[in-house]
Amino acid sequence: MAKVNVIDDKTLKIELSLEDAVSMVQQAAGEVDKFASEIITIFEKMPTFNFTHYCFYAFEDTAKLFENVLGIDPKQYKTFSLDAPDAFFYSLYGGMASLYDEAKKSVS
Amino acid sequence: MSEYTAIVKVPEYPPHLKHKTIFETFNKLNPSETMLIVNDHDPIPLRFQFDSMHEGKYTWEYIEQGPDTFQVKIEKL
Repeated sequence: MAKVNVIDDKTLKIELSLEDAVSMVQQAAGEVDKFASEIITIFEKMPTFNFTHYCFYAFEDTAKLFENVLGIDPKQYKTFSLDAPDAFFYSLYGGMASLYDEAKKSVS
Repeated sequence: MSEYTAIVKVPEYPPHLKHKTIFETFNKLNPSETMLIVNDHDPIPLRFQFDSMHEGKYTWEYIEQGPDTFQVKIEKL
């Protein structure tokens, strides 16, 4: 489970693990139609960020999966730091890759 | 007079508006104009995104590199 530390009313510190990536993939797999745009964006854009520097807020409205795993809304905070192992990002990418074709069909 | 056409203090914006504001600001620059980004961490993901969207059309120069504040001068070519 993601560790979310509220430092003050503007600042969050977030720690994610491999298990959080698995959780995000499972959520996406269970509701591909709902998360289709997230699946597509993460899969297509993550290589641009060299995978491990991917920013969930680089593109608009593509952070629902991320916010679900946190259980809070980071948009209420101006600053947050994200600490996650490389395994988190690569696992997430692999999971999105497996759902990509289905997500593309759902939006076409 | 500031040497920068625009300054974006990134921590003043919520997460979903940070990148949007920065790229909107960059898009409004004329060639050879500059903008300054002030952030509370190294904006490495932003640079990757700049490379993917504006490769060869901008310069990136660190004015300050932490540990608490990072300032990057970006020029539109």
